[in-house]
Amino acid sequence: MKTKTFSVMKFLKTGMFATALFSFMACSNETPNGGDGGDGGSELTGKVHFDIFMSVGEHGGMGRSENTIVKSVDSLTVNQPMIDIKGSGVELNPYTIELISKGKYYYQVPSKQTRFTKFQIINNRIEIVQEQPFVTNTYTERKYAHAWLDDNTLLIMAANGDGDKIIWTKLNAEDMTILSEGTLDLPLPKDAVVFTTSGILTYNQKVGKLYYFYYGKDKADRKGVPTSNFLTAVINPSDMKVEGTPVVNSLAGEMAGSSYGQLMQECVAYDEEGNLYLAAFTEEGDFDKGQLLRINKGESDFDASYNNIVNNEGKICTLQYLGNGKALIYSENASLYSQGAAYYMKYSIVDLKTGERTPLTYNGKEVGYSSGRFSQRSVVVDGKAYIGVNTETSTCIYIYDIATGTTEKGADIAQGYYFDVLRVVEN
Amino acid sequence: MAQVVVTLSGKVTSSDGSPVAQATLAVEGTSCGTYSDNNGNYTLSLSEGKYTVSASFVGFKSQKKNIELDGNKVVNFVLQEDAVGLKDVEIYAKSKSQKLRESSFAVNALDVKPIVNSLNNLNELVNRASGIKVRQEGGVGSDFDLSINGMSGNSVRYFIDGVPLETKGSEVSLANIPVNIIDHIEMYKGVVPSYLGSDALGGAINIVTKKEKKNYLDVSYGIGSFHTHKVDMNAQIVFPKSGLIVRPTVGVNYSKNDYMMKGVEVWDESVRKYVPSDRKRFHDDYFSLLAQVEVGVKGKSWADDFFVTASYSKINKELQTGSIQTKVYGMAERQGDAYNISAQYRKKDFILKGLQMQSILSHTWDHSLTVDTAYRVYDWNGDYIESSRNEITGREKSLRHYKRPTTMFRSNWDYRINQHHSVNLNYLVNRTGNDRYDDVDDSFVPSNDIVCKHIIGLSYNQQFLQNKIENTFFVKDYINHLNIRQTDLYWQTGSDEVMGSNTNNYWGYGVGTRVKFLEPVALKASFEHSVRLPLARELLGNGSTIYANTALDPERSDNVNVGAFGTWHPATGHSLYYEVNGFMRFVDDYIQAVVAEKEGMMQYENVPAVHIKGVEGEVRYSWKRNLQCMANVSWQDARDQRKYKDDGKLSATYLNRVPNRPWLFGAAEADYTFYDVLLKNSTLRLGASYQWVHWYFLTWEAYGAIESKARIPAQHVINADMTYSLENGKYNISVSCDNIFDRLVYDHYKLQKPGRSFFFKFRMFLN
Repeated sequence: MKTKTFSVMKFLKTGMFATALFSFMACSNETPNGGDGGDGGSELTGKVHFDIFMSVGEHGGMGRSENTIVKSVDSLTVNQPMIDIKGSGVELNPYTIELISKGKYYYQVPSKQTRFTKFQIINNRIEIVQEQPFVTNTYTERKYAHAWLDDNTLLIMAANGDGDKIIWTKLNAEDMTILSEGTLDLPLPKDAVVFTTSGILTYNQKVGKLYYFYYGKDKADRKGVPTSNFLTAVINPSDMKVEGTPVVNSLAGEMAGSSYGQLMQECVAYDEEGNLYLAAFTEEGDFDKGQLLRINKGESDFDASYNNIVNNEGKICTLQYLGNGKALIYSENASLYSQGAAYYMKYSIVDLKTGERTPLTYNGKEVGYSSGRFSQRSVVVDGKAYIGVNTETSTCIYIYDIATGTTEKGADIAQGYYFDVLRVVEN
Repeated sequence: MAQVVVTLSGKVTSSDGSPVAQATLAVEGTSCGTYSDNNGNYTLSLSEGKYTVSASFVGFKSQKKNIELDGNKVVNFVLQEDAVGLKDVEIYAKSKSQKLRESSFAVNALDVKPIVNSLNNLNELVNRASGIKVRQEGGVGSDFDLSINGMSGNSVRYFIDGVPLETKGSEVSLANIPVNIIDHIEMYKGVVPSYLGSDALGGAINIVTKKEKKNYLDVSYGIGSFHTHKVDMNAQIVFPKSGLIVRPTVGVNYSKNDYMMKGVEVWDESVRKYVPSDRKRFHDDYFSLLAQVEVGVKGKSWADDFFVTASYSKINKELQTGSIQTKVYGMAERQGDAYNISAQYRKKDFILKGLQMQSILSHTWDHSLTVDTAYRVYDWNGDYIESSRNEITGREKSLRHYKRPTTMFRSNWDYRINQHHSVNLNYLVNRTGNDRYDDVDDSFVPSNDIVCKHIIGLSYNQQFLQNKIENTFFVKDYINHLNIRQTDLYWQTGSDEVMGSNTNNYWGYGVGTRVKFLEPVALKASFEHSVRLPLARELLGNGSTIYANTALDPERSDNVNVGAFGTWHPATGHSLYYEVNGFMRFVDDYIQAVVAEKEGMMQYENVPAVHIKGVEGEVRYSWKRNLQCMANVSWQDARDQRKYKDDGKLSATYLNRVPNRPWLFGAAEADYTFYDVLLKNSTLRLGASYQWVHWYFLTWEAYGAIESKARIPAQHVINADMTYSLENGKYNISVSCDNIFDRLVYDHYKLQKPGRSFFFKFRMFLN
């Protein structure tokens, strides 16, 4: 009996390994986009695994939890054992879930530290690859935006402590040396006393420009209100000069995820042509109307004629490009939230051209609402979207095949924790 | 015409000249009397006239003297030993602390007076008591968290002579109160006597100051490692003619706290790595001053005690690190100033015989300031780069003021019905403001919260069979008064339900019992349904990042203690005291900040909290006057009671052990005193202590691979001290060494405490 069990386990392990080897030889050309190739999985080249960030006792967001465990798994298919962190996984402390990831590595301004850190999660350990103390510009944890100018150049940008200037630092991601630093020549918006802390920064590779979305507030504290709709500044990445005059947006009030600067939730996507899509929202009465906006390739402002994807139920919190003109969004139902519901977020597939929106379904049934407003539980890799849900009845992965539009069930995730983030990284 | 009160004083000695302590001095035909102190000295305040005064003590023949008092007089008594009595009777006197330990409450008491010559750190002394754990962030004056049976923070209240310690200023604490003024410390675990009048959920610490009866001057100066200096002075001056008593007290602490930090990260550009290095702390100066003067009278017909007290406290504290040592500060600091004025009155047989009334009225002007105006980033070399952010919050410059005016009135009425029954009524009203503003940070929204609480406690005590059985029953009424004016966000804050002037009433109650038929075996048990009222910030929010929650209930806990204790004298001169206690704490409606879904906004809510159970044991042994030993061990198991997560699903941590808190720890100490060493009436005291804390996890232990989990390492700390006293304690010199083996010690994750340190103290006590 023992021999048989051993053989079955051996077979399963060998099968898992082969599956992983076969499935995840992803290549950047398969799902091309024109973006900065940031933290998504579509740009990965090589064998990959998934890191699942689960927090114990409380949500891991806002840089406050010491209780986040990262479990690395090779596969998220349904034949995997239940993914649990009991006795396994690596304690993320002192790092937090607001991370930049690319290739094999994570990058962060760690909580309560005055440095940039590049590290790797490997064999249930966190291995620091390289660190770099601040030299001129200083940043605080989770309050900065970032963009990849190329595979090796990471740009960090944020408002300074007074909130009246935008500072930036270019890092060589290989050895973490600081390539250059400076302050943007960007004036405060009219009537504003401070910038929003991080804003949203993205690099359009096909255009060769940085886009920075930001707004100003009339007070520095949390009671401060935006003085206008958000603005778009176009920046030349080589000299960090702001080109032209930043434009106040005429279509939406605020961009989504402005506080995190895409350290956790992705809200910018590019299609194959190099058009930029941004999740944004406008306050309407007691709730926020979610919108997807588009800057056409080569333009410096949003396309006023493109505003056909609206979520009247509430904000669109995450946006990821799937390919073939489709994107995955994670949006809220503000009405349910105001009624005290814990489950009010759902995933949908949207056609960026027609605006057609299809809720994520499995076996012909809509996958129910999830909990977790500040979650990023989806990655796109190798033609598939791996979507983690936490519905009232289950916590698991669904695997959406981009080419066929079909959804299959993936691995189950143990309950009792806060399933905050799913990342895909190279082995 | 007013009677003239004069002082009769003197010394009681045996025939060989040794002082007789605790001898009874009785004035025949009156109810006046007193006991001699440890040096045999006594003082009586009497009206002028003729008296017969007797002095007696077990083992000695009583002696009577006829005395005519027409002014202050000194009369000494020399008692002759009673040979017959001495053959048959062995006397084991119990200290106040020992008597307290044997009361019906779960209470530990520490005698400070006998060890004050070498004591320089009150926190360290308290930390060695069973069930108590003090977690310090650094050296002298550093922030600390004291827990009693696993409950800490707002759950523990502090008192000095029964008055809330906060009346001396919010920065006055065990870390800086002058040790020389302390007689003993009482630590109530879970069940707090109603006369302390406070909403203590988990326990209370009451510092009892010494009460000398005659003029004295007590001065000490200490100097120690890391540029530490301590000066204490307190005195009592009695003006015989007027009966006026003046008691000045001054305590000063200063330390640079420049101890070596081992293995801190220092950037080495040549290898482009942070390299573990040893560096001295460079921005951790601490200064505290407490100055106080009490002026009053004793023994008047209209008052047994009437004192007016004025005090001033000042703290300057540089901040060296954030909550972990990788965040280094070089300029941030905290300052505090507090003025207090109070008047207290005590009268026995007030209105009717057997009724004692004691009242105190106090007002405190308390002002603290956090200075965070440097745009710099420091490293452990003490170097910095210019930054665009302040040091603590990473935002704009800040000069944050907190003004907390506190008015407190407490009145205690104690009525002894007869030798078996007594009742005690205590009323306390406390009105505290919290005015917060910032001089330079325009974004800070000022707020001025006020909360007023009334606490009424009524207890009934009974004693039967020569005090073999003692029972105490008590009820406490907690009244919280709010005036809600805010109406915005009523759906979030609940302000629509409790608009306007609002008074909430909550009841607490408890019982304690002790049965002692035999000296070696006695039993006690106590219970309290305790309450902690919400703070203004918890109820009303802070105007910016915290929503109000006016529907917030107080924290509640059901605290149970069961214990056995006893004293055994196995042979002449040997005493062995033991104590074993089991306890349970059922904390519910815990007030916890819950993060709202909107970014950064929080609100305090009542959540199921934690249930704690534990056992602790302590053994004390003494041999004659020479040897004293103590050892204790405490085990406590705190389990999370939050069954469901925010989303309604079962929480993985439900019933798990709560992380980041010590759960197994112990201490031991021993001291030996030699008498008449080199010189007559001298003593040499050698002492040593050991503290141990089992390592514990920073986070929930069951989750994550065991090798990846952060731990707070075990502590093994040994201290030693030596004190030489001359002329019956008039002149005292002590040398102490803490952490002899220079162990790396942490109470908090990666916040190092000092290594080996020496302290030299000279104390002079003249009376």
